[in-house]
Amino acid sequence: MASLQNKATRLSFWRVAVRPKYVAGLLLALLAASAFAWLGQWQLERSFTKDQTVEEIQQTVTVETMLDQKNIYIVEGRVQDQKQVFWLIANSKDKSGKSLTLALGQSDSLLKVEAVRFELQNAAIAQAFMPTIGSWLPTEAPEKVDADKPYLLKSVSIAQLLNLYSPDKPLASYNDFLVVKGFAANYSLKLADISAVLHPAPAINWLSAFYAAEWVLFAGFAVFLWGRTVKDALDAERLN
Amino acid sequence: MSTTPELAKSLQIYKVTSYVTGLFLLLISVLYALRLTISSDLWIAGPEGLVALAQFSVDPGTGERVGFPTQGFSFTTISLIVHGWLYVAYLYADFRLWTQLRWGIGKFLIIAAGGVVPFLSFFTERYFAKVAEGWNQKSEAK
Repeated sequence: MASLQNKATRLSFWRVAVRPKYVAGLLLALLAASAFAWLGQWQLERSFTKDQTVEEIQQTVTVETMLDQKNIYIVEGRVQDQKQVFWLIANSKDKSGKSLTLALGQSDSLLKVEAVRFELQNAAIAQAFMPTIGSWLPTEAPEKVDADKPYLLKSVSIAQLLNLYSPDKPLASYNDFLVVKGFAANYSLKLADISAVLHPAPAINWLSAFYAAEWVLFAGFAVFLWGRTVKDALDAERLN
Repeated sequence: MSTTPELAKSLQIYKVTSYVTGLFLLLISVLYALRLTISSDLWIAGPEGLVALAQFSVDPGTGERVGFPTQGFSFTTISLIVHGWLYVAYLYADFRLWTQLRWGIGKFLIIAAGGVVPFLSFFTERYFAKVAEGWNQKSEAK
């Protein structure tokens, strides 16, 4: 009886833990934990959208376009240099007849943009294809327009714009719109250039953020589980 | 071993979490299939109504899904998050049962897999609940 008690007290947690079987188990648990931690880190990086580098945004293209003076609109709620600005946008077509929406220029005064819009609608511009330099931005989600100012839009949605350009028949179009640099289609625009920023505000990817927390939890749990198996083995041996 | 009421409680928690997690896993499998096949998320309270499909496009530069409505939220994303935490609860239930029955690590891992492999949790629940109940009755008879 006495010797049994002795043996039991000598069997400490660490004596069981250093056995090859449990050392191998610990290595496996640590491997799993570091894999989980790595996944957590990766997920965390994905949680916050990265700012676009200037090079990515500034890639410019040149497209031959002809301005559609009947379809000129204003987009409100844009941000540039931490200021609320209004964009002047217009429909155009390329040489294949495809519709291409151009973001022409901006100002922080709605009155000014409205005046330029009116001017451009009535300007005598030769109907010719002009090289237009700009960079692409992706279409946005449509948003409802107030009935009293139907030309004042709240986002640049190609689908919504196509309905305005051509309400009766479908129109072939580019999926993106072109932010024009120095618009000069036989007409000098009295507006400043738009700086093309892909993501107006950094967004949080909530799925990634929550998954990251879970991976950390799993990593801790993997090691805890190993400890539990050692303790179980210890208890079993103490009983016998 | 007089752990019977405790074991009964663990079994109950295990059964409930296993069904809830299993059903949610089927739900997110369907929603994820929609994402992959028709590039759409199930959208709640968006401009097109309380429940609608919102189509997105993938930005080739960043790989992000873009073009979602600005109002409302993605039910697909919420479901994925909820399933993730239901799975944590399911693992807790798995751990409770596993500890009390002094099972080997293999059984723990098989039950854990049930929460991420569609339909598997229904089979593991049937099998392991039976094994655990058998054990419970044996200890009651003693």
